[in-house]
Amino acid sequence: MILRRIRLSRVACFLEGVETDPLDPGLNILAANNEEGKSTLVRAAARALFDRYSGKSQEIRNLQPAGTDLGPRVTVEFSNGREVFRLEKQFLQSAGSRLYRKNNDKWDLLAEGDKADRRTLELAGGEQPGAGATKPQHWGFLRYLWARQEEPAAWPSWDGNAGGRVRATLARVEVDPVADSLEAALTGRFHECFTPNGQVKRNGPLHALTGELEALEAELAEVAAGRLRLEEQQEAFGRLSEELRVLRGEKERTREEADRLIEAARRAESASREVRTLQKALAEADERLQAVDRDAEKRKRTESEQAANREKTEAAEARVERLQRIRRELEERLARVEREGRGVEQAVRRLKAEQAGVQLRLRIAAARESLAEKKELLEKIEAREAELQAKERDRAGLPRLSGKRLEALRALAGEIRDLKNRLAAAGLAVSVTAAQDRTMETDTPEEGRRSHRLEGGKSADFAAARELVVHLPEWGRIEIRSGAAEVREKQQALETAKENLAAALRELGTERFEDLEVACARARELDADLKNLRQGIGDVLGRFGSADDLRRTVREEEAALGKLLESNAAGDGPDGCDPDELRRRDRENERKRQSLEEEHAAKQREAEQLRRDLTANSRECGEAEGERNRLRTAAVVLETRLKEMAERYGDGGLEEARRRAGREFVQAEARLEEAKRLLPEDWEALPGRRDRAVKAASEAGAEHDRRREALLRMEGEMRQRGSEGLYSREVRLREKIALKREEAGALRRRSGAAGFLATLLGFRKREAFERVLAPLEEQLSVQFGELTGRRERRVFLDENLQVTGVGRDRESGIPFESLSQGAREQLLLALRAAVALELAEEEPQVLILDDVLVNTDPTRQQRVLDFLESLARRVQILVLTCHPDRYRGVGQRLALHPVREDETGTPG
Amino acid sequence: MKFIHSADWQLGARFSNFGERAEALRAVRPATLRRTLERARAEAADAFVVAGDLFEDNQVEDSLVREVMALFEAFPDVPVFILPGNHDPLCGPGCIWERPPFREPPAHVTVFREPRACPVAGGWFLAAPLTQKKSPRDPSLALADLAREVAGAGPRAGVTHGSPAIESKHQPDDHPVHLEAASRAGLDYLALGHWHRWQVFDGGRMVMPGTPEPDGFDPGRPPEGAAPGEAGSAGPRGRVALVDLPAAGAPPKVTPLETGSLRWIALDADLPDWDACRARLEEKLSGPDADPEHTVLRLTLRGAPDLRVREAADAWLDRALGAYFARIVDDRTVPALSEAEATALRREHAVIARVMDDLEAAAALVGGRRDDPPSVGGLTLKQLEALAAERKQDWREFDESFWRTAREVLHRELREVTS
Repeated sequence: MILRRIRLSRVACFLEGVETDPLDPGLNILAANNEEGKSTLVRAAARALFDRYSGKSQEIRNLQPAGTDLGPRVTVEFSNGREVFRLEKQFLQSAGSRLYRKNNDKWDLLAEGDKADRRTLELAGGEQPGAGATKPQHWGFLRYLWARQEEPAAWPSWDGNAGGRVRATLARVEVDPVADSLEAALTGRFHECFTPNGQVKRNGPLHALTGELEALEAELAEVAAGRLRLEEQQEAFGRLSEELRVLRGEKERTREEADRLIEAARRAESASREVRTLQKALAEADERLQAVDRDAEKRKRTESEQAANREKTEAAEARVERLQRIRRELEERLARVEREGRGVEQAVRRLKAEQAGVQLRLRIAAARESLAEKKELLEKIEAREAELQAKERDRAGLPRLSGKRLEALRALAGEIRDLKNRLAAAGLAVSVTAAQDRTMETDTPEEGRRSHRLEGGKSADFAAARELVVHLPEWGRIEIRSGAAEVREKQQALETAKENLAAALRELGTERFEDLEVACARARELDADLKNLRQGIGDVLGRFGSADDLRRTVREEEAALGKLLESNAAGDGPDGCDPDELRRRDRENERKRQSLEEEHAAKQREAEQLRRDLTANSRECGEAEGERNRLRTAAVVLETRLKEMAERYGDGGLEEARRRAGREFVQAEARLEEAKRLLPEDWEALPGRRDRAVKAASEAGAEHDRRREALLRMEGEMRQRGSEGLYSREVRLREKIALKREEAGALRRRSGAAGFLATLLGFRKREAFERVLAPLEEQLSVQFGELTGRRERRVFLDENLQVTGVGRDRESGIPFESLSQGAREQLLLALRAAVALELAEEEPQVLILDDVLVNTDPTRQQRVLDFLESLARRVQILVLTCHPDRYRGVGQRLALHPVREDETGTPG
Repeated sequence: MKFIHSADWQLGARFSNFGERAEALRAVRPATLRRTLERARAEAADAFVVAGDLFEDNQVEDSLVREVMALFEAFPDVPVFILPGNHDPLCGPGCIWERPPFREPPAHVTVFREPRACPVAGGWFLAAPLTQKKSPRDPSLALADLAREVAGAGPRAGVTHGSPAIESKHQPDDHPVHLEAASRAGLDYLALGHWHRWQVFDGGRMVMPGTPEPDGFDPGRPPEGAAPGEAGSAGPRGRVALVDLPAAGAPPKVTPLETGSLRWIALDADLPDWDACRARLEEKLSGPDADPEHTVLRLTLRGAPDLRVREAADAWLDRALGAYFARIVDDRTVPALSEAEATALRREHAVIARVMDDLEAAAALVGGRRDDPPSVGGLTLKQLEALAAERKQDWREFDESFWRTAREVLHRELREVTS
């Protein structure tokens, strides 16, 4: 359908009738300012085409001029490519509808009222809503081809018949609701048993079956384990039975062996007791025979000992006599040597007494000499100490202040002098800096005229109390006078300095700083003298720490000398002998004393040796006497022993007794040999063997009994378990498990297959759409490239033909929502153009653009115009704009012309 | 000397594939035992011999053991000789033979607890029972010693249990029995048990009658190495042997007696051509020999039926198979669309048709080489792996049954959403 003309009357702002120029099949531009009714014109035409004339909804009432209840009239001429129609419709008041078809130059009435509405709806491709006014989704292709001013920059969905037809037309494939339903049904089947992520769904039928199966398998495992245990027990039972049989044989064999050994051991024990009795008798006979032999031997030995004893006794007596004689000689020699030693000892004592007197007199002489030296030294020191005390008294009268403080006071005094000078020159201070070395003169009342040498580049200061005249050579005279402010400051500083100095001097006990300086100089001299004196006294004292130490030493030596003199007087020794004579006598006495002492020591050594010899002789003599006495005693014992032996054997004597004992021994030996011959060879090992055999029989019996009991217990368990029918239980469980497993497997397979089918179907649907979308995307991309001038970008659609983005590929493209407003408008224009072109293949289409490219920049606007002119060759375009300048030179300009009431057509 | 030689009753055996019908299958065997004892009485047999494996296991439930003893007690005129086999060996306390009531059986019931000779009707039973489940020792070796003990005193029949030592047809530790064990031991007959098919060896002196009640669908097959005519097919029913030993050294007269009450039948059905398939099934299942109440049926469904055919088949099968004693339907069909459905699908639902193509290609691929497939239909392996991973699935676990289920689910859900 394309539009040919629109007339309005009593519609919104058009209270009077207006009419458009005839519309061109190509590009039409309707330019007017805002609120002049451009959009109203198209909206009223749409209401006429798609809404029932009898409608009274608010949307219809909105067509009425404001504040009136007039019935809006709309006339739309349109064609479907082959025929031209005219629809005349009036709403609300005197509502009616008439549809005409052009026949040559006449209008033939085709239908009226509802029929006219239905026929019009068919021609326009619209739909009727259930109730109320139509909405864009009822406007057929215009829903997609009419870009409304108030519409957001988004593409409408493809629902409804028109949407489906457009999609089918565009994508050349109809959306298959069966495939969608099938996919949903398959997904539902899958989700009966599985969660979306493929896990078995809790509380689902497969979950329940799996649970039952697990419970059955657990029970089966328990039963199978019981069976296995029983089979293992049966196997073990066979093995243990065999072992028990072997043990039973061993038990019987060991018992028999033990019994045999018990009897053998009993017989051997009896025989051995007989042997032991005979052995005892033989031993007694042997003992008797040996006793007689021992006595014979003893008598012979005693007689021999008696002869030897006699000889030894005689030798011992001779030795005792010789030793007693030697002892007497030694005692005589010792008495003589001791006597000579005592004489030498007395001579030594006398000589020592004389030597002590000489040495005492020598010590007195030395003490007197030392005392005299110390007294002389003490006198010298006392004289110097007197001098030192006199100087210290002088020093005490002088002020004591540190050099730093003196320097501070000196600075303070200097400051006072300086202040006085400055005060004298207060108010005038001139600083002169000559460029080169110069000579100048100053003239002040205080100093008069003076010449000064100035160095080039250095400043020189000049001051005066009140007046200063500066004479500069080759320049002239400068006279400078001062004020009084500086004078006051200097005077105040001077007073302060004076007070500080006076206070310091008072503290030091003087009035003038000059007196202080003289006192300080005197003090320094005295300090040096005192230091020298103290140093001299120290040198004289030497090893003495102080004069007092020296005086104490003198007193001590005087006391010691007194004691020496008292000792000498008590010894009645001479006093005052020549010390050298005394020393000579002392050395003479010493030599004599040493000689006597050596002689005395020799005598003592000789006496000691004689004493040791005497002691040795006494010991040897004692031993000889002891030996002699022992031999005498032994002789008596031997005599007694021989006498006793002779008395013991009586008349027959020793030889007869020996013959009798020999006969008895031979008889006992013969009886023993006979008894031994009757004993078994290993009779000694038999008790041990018997004990071992008894123990072995006991152990084998215990082991056998233990095994037998274990086997009986096992047998009981096996009988009990064997009667439990474990195999039958296992059979039934396996049959149930097979059933459940088949059931669960089938369910899992069915649900899994449904899930896979749903996935596969979705995949194939996507693939089909992608395949048919590609040409559409290509066409859209070309058109969008022409509009924007950026042909490298592609436009991508989703399976619902919604624009997903723009870019080089599908994944990295810019989403539609992120594009600029202008780009979105242009993209939607391209999409509308693509839709219009596709639909125009079957019948002519009109594309209505109601101020939708307001965000397009001037550069792109030219491309838009190129695009629209190109598009208009195949599609009718109606542009409504309030920017006529943007569309100058393109298409046909439309204008609205007033028409008379009767010319608007009045439906009957 | 005439006796019934049976073996491998396997009372209490497991039937895992039959679900709730397993108990009924187990209950059949005691009834078969009763009928066989009645036959022994009718034949005036001197003995009823069980050559091992009367029970499936030593630990079957006591109620079953007592039920079996009650059966024997009901036939006091039929002397029963039971040899412990490898399933119920005499392995000490807890085994059936050491528990009541077989621990102290009635006088006419003898359990061979050790190798021994037992006089019967002028002849001898020489028995070598098993004491363990596995052993490389030939149990018939003991029979030669026993035979020497009773030489020249009537016909001698050995009784033991083990695998005929056919090269590559037996396990070395499965109680191998020499193929001429009867002749070697100087026996007139050796009653053997272990294999579940009728087997004859050693010039007809060594017989293995198989199980009296069949327990599987596989038909009997002559063992390799057996002489022509000696070993035959077990046939559709279980057997015991009626043995007559007229005199020592005389050849035995062995007559197979059919004892099994159930037939085990396996059928195939190709569903796409449902009408023809149904006609064939009706012919097989409704013939004069049909005995559904005593038939265990395994029906293997094959082909690629569409939903309509499948539903028609299911409905018919539910009716037709309901009377069978037990049945297994082994569904190996590949769900498919009819030609019209497929055409419509491709025209109207291209994406769904593409998914079905994917399934076809994947199933074909899984049916062939599964190692590192380069692609599945239009999907690459990487895509397949990624699609499976979306729901934490592993494509390597997608076996043939998975793809079959996937097709079935797809078809059913498609029909749901389009109906």
